[in-house]
Formats: sequence, structure tokens, C-alpha cells
Amino acid sequence: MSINAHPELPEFDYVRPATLMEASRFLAEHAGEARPLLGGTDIFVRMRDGFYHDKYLVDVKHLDSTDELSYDPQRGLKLGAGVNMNRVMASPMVQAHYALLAEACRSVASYQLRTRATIVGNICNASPAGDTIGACLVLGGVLNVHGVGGYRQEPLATFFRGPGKTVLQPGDIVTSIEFPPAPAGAAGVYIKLGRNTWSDLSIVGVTVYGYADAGRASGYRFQAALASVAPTPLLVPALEEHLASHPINAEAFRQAARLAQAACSPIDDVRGSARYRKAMVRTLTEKALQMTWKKLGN
Amino acid sequence: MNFTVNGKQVTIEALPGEMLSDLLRERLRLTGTKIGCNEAECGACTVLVDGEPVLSCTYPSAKAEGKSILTIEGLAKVSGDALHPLQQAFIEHGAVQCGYCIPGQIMTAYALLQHNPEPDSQEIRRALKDTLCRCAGYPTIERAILDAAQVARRGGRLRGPQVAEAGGSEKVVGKLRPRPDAVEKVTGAAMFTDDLHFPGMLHARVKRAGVPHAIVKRIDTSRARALPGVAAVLTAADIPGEHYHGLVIYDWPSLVGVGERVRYVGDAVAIVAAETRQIATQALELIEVDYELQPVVSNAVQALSPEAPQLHERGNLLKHIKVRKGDVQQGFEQSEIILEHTFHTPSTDHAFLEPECCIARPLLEASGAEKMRMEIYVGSQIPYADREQVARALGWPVERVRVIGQLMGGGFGGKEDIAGQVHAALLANATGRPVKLLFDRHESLVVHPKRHATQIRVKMGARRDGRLVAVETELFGDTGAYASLGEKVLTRATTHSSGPYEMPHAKADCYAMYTNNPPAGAFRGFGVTQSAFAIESMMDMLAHELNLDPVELRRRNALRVGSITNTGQELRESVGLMECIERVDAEMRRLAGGDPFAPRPAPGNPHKVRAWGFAAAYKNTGLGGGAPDKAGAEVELFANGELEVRTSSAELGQGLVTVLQLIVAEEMNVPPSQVRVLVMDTDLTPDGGPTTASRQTFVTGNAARHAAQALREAIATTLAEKYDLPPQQIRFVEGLAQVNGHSIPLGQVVQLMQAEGRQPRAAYEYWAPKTNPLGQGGDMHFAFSFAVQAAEVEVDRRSGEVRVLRVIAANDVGKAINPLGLQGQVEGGVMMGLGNALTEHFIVEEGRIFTDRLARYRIPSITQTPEIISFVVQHPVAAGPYGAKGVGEIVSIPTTPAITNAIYHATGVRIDRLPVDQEQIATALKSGVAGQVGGD
Repeated sequence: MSINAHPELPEFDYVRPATLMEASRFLAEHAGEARPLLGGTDIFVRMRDGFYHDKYLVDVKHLDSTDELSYDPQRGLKLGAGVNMNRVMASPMVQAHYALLAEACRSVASYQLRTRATIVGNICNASPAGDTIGACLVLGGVLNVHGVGGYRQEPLATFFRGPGKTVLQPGDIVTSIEFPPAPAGAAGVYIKLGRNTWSDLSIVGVTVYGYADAGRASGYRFQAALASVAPTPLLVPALEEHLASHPINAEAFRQAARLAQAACSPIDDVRGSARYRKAMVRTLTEKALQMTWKKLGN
Repeated sequence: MNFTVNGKQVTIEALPGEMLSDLLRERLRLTGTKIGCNEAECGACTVLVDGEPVLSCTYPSAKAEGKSILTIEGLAKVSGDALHPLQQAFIEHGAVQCGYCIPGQIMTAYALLQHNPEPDSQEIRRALKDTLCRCAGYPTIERAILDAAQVARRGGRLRGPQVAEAGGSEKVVGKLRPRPDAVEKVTGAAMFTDDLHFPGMLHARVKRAGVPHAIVKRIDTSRARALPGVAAVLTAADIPGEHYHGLVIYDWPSLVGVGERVRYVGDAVAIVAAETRQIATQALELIEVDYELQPVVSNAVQALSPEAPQLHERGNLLKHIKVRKGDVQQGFEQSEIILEHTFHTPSTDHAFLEPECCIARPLLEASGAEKMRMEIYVGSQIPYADREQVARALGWPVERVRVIGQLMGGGFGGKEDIAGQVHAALLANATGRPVKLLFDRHESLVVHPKRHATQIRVKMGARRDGRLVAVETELFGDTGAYASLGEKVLTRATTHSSGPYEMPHAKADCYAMYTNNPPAGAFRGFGVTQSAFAIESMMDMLAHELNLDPVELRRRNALRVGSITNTGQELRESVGLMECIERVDAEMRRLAGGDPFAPRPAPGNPHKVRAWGFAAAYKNTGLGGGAPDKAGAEVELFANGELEVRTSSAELGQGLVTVLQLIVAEEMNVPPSQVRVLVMDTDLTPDGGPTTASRQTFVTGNAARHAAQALREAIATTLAEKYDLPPQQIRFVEGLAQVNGHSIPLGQVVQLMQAEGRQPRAAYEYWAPKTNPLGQGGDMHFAFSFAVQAAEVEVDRRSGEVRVLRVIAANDVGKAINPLGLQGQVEGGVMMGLGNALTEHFIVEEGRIFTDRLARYRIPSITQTPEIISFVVQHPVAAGPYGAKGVGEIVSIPTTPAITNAIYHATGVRIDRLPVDQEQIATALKSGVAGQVGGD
């Protein structure tokens, strides 16, 4: 632990390209010293703290369809990279079909920050603690990425490489995230365990999502995603398999929670021990499964 | 770029790296928007951009292009009235205290009401979650918003606050009165030090050591001096006068020179003044310093060991403090039960929302440099002590320094020591230009003195019926690198360490130790916060062992009139402890329904369990211990009929200005609006002494009262002579002097007095009753305040999470002179106590600070605010103004042990180390270490 010199905000240039291609090229040409800017809720704090040293911040919030929030019963939900979380939460379409996403947004920071904070920004920070990432994972999010070679798609499930690390290459800009249509009657919860001595940062976050699915032996599909207990946000396939193949009851949830506990690999840090975190993953997963079960009308 | 601010078109170029808050404050001079942290944590900088609330400290100004910005200065205009209903409601409900967070609170609330005109409490709390208030007026803020919302929807008048008046025969004292500075604080017009700007002003920064213990081998400032825009770089060698400062002992080097010792990471080695803050920052990086690192003394117990490195010439022991009453050995032999336990409390930070700022402004007199004066603009709790320390550093007589106190965005004890005053003055002296030295949040957290971390062992002997026979305590207090007020703080911790109880035998030993941690000094509660946690935990442990009701145990031992304290002081009056116990006990049992200390499952959740906890406390008013305790005040009458009361005593948000206004209005029989208050100016106001020890209502209140009485007598004498009447026939009614049936406006008396060579003003220097030093017996303090609190907690047995649901507080304050301000103190005190119990932990490891930003140091937010039920108990003290004694600290002291005792009752887990660790609770419950009282 060393004392931080805490410099003033370093000087940087604020770049507003006219097109996405211009933005991608600029970012690629200035790899290592330029960064796309969405809400900017974290970037400036990190620059002041000396973690980021970028010379250029490239505002992409106004480009192409980054401002788009649209829903189509056949194609699902599309959230532009520039759509702030307060807007997501207030959207009747989100509330009706993706309530879990609204719930996850509500848990993020403060009212003022959510005016600017974006879901895509939360994802691109690639923090294992990112509050909205779990919901995006279980909802099957796919990112639209614009790079120097044009557009491509990246499924969220394979997007993260480590804390702060993703598959993105210099020049890549995530322009939006899309979600497939939500199954009728689907429900989910996000439970975040904080610590009184700490800010909002979760020490364990559990997202559970479920819906009736005749294609599975149990008649249901359940998914879970865990935050703050592994180097990346974590999906738990073992939990999904268990609840697909066993009759849904309290014992099945207990066992599923144990599987979630086994799947994670938290570390000891100043906010909590690995042991405590593992125990909490189990407790909160079981609780989240029961709450989801209740929301499903059982 | 073009945008609008408060409806006005602005055309201005954005600067690289500039945030909207800087643009608003520095270039448009809209200083109502405040900077509390500059890291998007505190919410003070909230403004609206196109109707949405944003934190302007992290919003690039370049993004304002084409947008419409609304700041606090533009809010009234939006409503079309003199004030927006929110602003009016904040004033009337007493939601404004220090005022620093208020623009952010109001702007966030305004944004909420734009989207949701009829919010409920929960929606308000969700919206204001991270808009922090350290005075913690959260309950009043919430009530003000609810009230304003209904006016905004329906029109009409605010319902106003539901606060009881004090009762009694006074006309204005004890009545509800908004603060005299409330309007400027809700409109953004209030000026804090960083809001001031002087032509030619330079910006200073300080090169901090960054290592906890070292000898400085070399300092090279040549590269920094050569940087264009740098006006001065100074080191210890450049200090013309005294190299050290300090409040009691001059042991704190203003700058650590070559060959000298660095004792903590915040020590200063060089200071820079430059044309801009950015240049000053660049210059810091060009200063080269070589250190020879030394082994680190990281806690008070280690500091006392013979092997520990010695940090000061006189060693590591600042003071061994002793309390002796009776013979504890004999007492323990007579005891039927003996308990012993050790407790730990951490260092904590005041986290006032306004970081330290100081401007030194040299006044170049025509008469030559040796007559040059220095003005110091600063928010300081002790202006005269600042003057003394600055003058000594400059090598000047004190008369050449003028401290002009500014509004303070909170203090809580953390603005008593020198922060940037000496450095700014040295740079202003060297450059001949005004110099501003502003701490950012990081620097504030690293540099200023904290609450003392302590280790407290308590051994307690009692009879089976619960009567205490002997209490022995041993305290280790970590005063950090420098003494600050460490000796005084830890003396208070020691003398209060056997609690507000009477016992024949008491012994306390405290070792006040120097370490390589940040200095520790004054912080609301002043040592008693720590020892109250230990002793009140022990009282509950004793009650448990004896199978006695915790309230009954306290009743049997409580101090009352006639009791002798552990320092040998007989309490002859004003001991409201029993009434506090009864008021809280009755309310707690009424709310709990059954046994308040039995765990109950939370409704609808078998994993959550609830219970109440109880704690009592006392706290001295005034300096005591033989220290001369005096305060001066002056009252002047003006021709327009207005009065002004003047004293150097400090207003840090606590409401002294209201108290003084009410007292003078009462004595002169004028409406309070006719009384102006001027505080904290060493040229214009008499010395009120330090604003500490809950003393100002008592001492400066008395001084103002006597000064007003003297002025009233002088007026009566003048009129008596003119009309040839005995002075006692002159009456003062509603701003008029009544003479023989004629009414003469007070303002007209000014001319009469001046014509006779009399000044229409009176000064009074009040001396508080004499006290004795510790160890001599007799009166160590001239008054004590008492308090009892009960807290209801809910604990999640699986995660260990703790929530405080309700707090009942009763405070014996002698007399509630300013009930609206008292409510703010009580509610804010409870919240600070809650933070002390649950959230606050200033983490230092091997002298290095981990909690060096607000994101890592958590102060309570509105979402954690319990329901607070307050009872005001008034056992007057004869020497106090209208019977009043101290309020500021006592309100906060019992909260922590009330909460930890409640956790014990809910779960069987005894908390003996603060802050409460949810992981420890969860682990103890899981392993079955805790008593199985809850069931699952």
C-alpha cells in the first residue's frame, strides 16, 4: 500500500469524431493513449487517481445509434451505448419485459451518477463487481462492436478476460447491447451484499433469472451470475444444469446454491475474506432462487 | 461553445481537462455549486443538465455545448418567487446547518420533484442516497422535501417543523427560529473560503513526505523553482520565525527540514505558490527529496515498549494520565462479582464536507515592510490560536496578523489545528501576493488530526444487587505523530472511563502515545466516545452476568445530585441522568411491547432478528481541569435600531449564531431579526476562546448575555439622566424604550449616547466558574451534560448485516435555547454515533493510509437513517445562560454502545472492536460461539 500522490486531473483532449469509422480509426491510431468516453462516471476519478493516463477521450455518445432504446417483440431489446441507466429504469418496455435489468440499474451508485452511467460503460469497465453485468449475462446480451474493420457481434458470455480486461481491440467501440425477446413470465432478482464500512461496491452480488421451459425435465430454466467472487463476472452453468434436471423444490435450490458456491473463487481482501464471500454466495443464491420462484407465481 | 446557465446564454471556450464544476465556480463565479470530494462520491456538486441531475465534478465542461444548466443560483427564478418551496422548506425545518452540502441536496431534490412530484420517504431516500450531509440533518432534509413537495403541488403554506419549544418565561429564547444565515445558504450566496477570489492571487500546494518515518537527507527545489509560473518554493530553511506549531505543545514542524525527522505521511517538506493550481501541482513533482527510512511505530501499545523507536526528544509518552478514587484493590476484594474485558476503537475522520482552505493576503502598508499585515481567511474553530501560530511562524507580533473567519462547512473538532494557515502565510509573505491553499479530499484525509484510536481494558467489581464497588480502567491512546489536543482528549477519555456512575473505588491509567500515524486530536465526543463504548458495553455484560435488567443496573448506579465523581467532584446541581433514563426506558418499553432486550424475529423474515440496546453517557461542558475558561462578546446598537453581537467564537454549522441572536434579542427585548451576529474576526471581535468542549452556548452565551445587559443598563442610564427618572423605570418593549409612557425607538438612543460621549456598545468578558486540575479533587468541571439512548437493530443472522431501525434519545441540556438547532444536533449526533458504530474506519497500516479518499471512508447516508425520537430534558445549571449547558457532543456519545448492546441482545455476539464487523457476526453465529439466543 503506497500513498497516492493524487495529482490534479491531467490535461486531456476531448475528441468528438463525426462518424463511427473516424472514431475507430482515431482510437486505433492512438492505442494506449485514447479511450472511448461514454458516461464518464469512472474515467475522471481514475484519471485523478493516476490509474488512467489517456491523452484523448473520444466521446462516442452521439454517434450512429448509440442513443437508441428500442423494443421489438420479435427481435427483443436494443440499448445504445449512450443510453443512461435512469432512462433504462424509466422505460415501460424495460419494466414490462426486462424488469431484472431495471432492478440491477437501481442498485448502481446514485441518482446523479445514473444520469450519465450506462450499461455498456458498466460492461466495458469489466469490473468483477459490475452491478448490471449479471443481468445482462443471464438475459443473453450480445454486444454490437464497431472496429476499424466495421461492425461485428460479441456475445457477452465470452466477452470478459479478467479484471478490467475484455476481448476488445484498439479501435473497438461497443455501440449497443441487444437482448433476445424475454420468455413470457420470466422473472429474476439481483441481490447485492455490501458492507457498511464500504461504499456501494458489492462484496458479493448474485443475479438469478428463471422461467418456465417445457424443454427441460424440471419444466424450468434457471440461470445465475455471480459478481465480486471471481476475476470476471461469472455464469454458473452447473446451477442451470442441476435445476433443469431435478424437480424444483427447496432441496434443489439448496443444492444449486452449493454448486454456485463451488463455482466461485473469491479472494481475501480488505472488504471481506474469501471464506465469508463463499458462504454468502451460497446464502444469497438460495435466497435469490427462492425469491425468483415466488415471482414466478409459486 | 454555447450553452445556457440559469437561463442566460454563455459563450466561452472549454479548457482541456476542465470539469463543469470548475467552469461554473472559477470562470463564471457561480460558487454556489460546492466541491466536497472531486471524486463523484458526495453529491455536493450536483447541478441539472437539461433537467437531469449530474455530478459536475466529473462532467467535462466541453459536454455542456448546447445544453441548459441549472444551478442553485438559478433555482429561485424557476419558481418565480423569492425562494423555491424547497429552499423555504429547508430553512423553516432547520435542514440547513453548516450549509455546505445544501446546494447539492436541494438540486438533487429538485430533480426528483421534476420527475416525481409526490415522492414518499423511500423514494426521497433512494434519490438522495449519495448526497452526503455530515451534519447529518437527514431527517430534517427528508421532512423539508416532503413539505416542499406538497406546497409545490398544491400551493399554500409549508406545514413547518414539529419541534417543541423549550417552555419557560423567556420571550424568544427557547422558541423556534431559523438560522440567520439560512437564506444565503439555500440560495448559493453563502461564501466559504474557497469561494473567495482576490486579484493577483497565487495557488499553493504542499509537498507531503508520503513516508511515515524517515530522516530527510536532501531537498532539491531547483527544478521546481525554474518552472514557469512558479512564484515561490519554500522549505524549512525559509521560515523566518518559529518552525513548529501546535495547540498545546509546539511539536508539529510546519516544514521538515534537511536532517530533521518525518513522523507521518502528511508531514510537509516543501510548499509551492504558482500562478495556477495546475502549475503548483507540476512543481511538486519536480521537487526532489531523499529520505532515510526509519522503523515505524504503528500503535500506542507498541509505542510504549522499550524497544520502540523514539519519535520525539521527550520520548513516545506524551502523558500518563491518572484517576484515583478510594482503593480499587480493596474494592475488588469487597466485590461479589468481577468482570474484565478489553475493547478497541479505531481512528476515524471528521469528513466535514468542506475540505480545508485558507487564503493569506498580505497588506502592503505605505509605512513599510515592517508594518505589513497579513490577513488570513479561513474556516477555523479557534481564530485567535491561528493568529498566534501564524504570527510566530512569520516572526511577527500577533497584532500584524488578522484572522477573518469564514463560513465553515463542518468542523466537528477537525478544524482546531493548523491546516494550511501557516503555509499560506509563509508563501504570501515571500511573494507579496495573496495565496490560496486548498486541500483536496485526499489531502484532507491524510493530513488533519483524527479521532484517537484506543485500547481500553475495563475491570469492574460489583455487588450481587448490581451496585458498583470498583472500576479500574487502563487506556492506550494513539495521538499519532504530534500532540495536537491529545493530552486533553485522552484526559477526558480517562476521567469519563467509569461512566456516568458513582462507585467508591475508581482507578484509571491512560498512556497517551506518539506513533507514526496521522496526529489525533479533537473530534466530537473528545475521548469520551471511546471510553463510553467500553464502559457501557461492560455495564451490559455485568447486567447479563447478574441477570439484571440493563436499565435497572444503570438506575442503581447513576450519578445524581450529591454524587461524587471518580475525580472527586461533588455534583451539586443539574444532573438529569435519571430523568433521561426514565424517559428513554418508558418510550422503549412502549414501542417494544414486551421485553425490549429479548430477540424477536423480524416480520416476514425468519433470518432477521431484532432487539433493543441501551446506553448512558455524560460529558463535561467547558475546558475544565483548571484551564482558565473565558469568552468575550460585545454588543452594539446602531442608529437604525439594529444590534450587532460580536465574538471570535466559531460557527461551524452547530448554530451558535442563532443562540447568540436569540440571547441578545431576549435581553434587549427586540425581535431576533433586529440582531446581527459577527463572529470569528480577530480584529473586530473579542476572543471567545476555542470552539470545543461543548462550551460556546455556555461561555460565549453568557458573555453575550452580560454584554447585552450592560448595554441595556447603559441605555437606561442615558435615558434616566435625560428624563430625570430612576433607571429602573425605563422599560424595553419590542425594540422600543418606554419612558414615562413615551416610546422611543432604540435607534434614537444612539445619538443621545454619542452626544454625551458614551459609546452605544458594551463588551463583557465572561469567566466560567473556576475548576481544579485532575488529581486535586473538587470541581474538575463546572457542568456536565447527560444523555441516554436506546437503539433498535435488525441483524441478518446469515450475512451479519446490521441495520438500525429506531433510536430514542434523551439529552439533559439544561435549557434548550435554540430548539430547532438542538434537533439538528441531536439527529446529526445520533447519525455520527451510528457511523462510529457501523461504517467508519480510518485504516492506517504501518503508518500508510488506505482510506485516502471518500470512496474508501464511508460516512452514513440518508438511507441508513433510523427513526429518531428525541426527548429534551432540562435540568438547569445555575451559572449557565438561562440554565443551559453543552449540547454539541453529548448527543453523539451513547449511540455506539446502544447499537452494539442491541446487537448483543439480538444475536448474543458481543462487539468489543469497532466498527462492527458483519463478517465477525456471521462467523460467530455460524460457529455457535455466540449465545444461542436468537433461534433460527
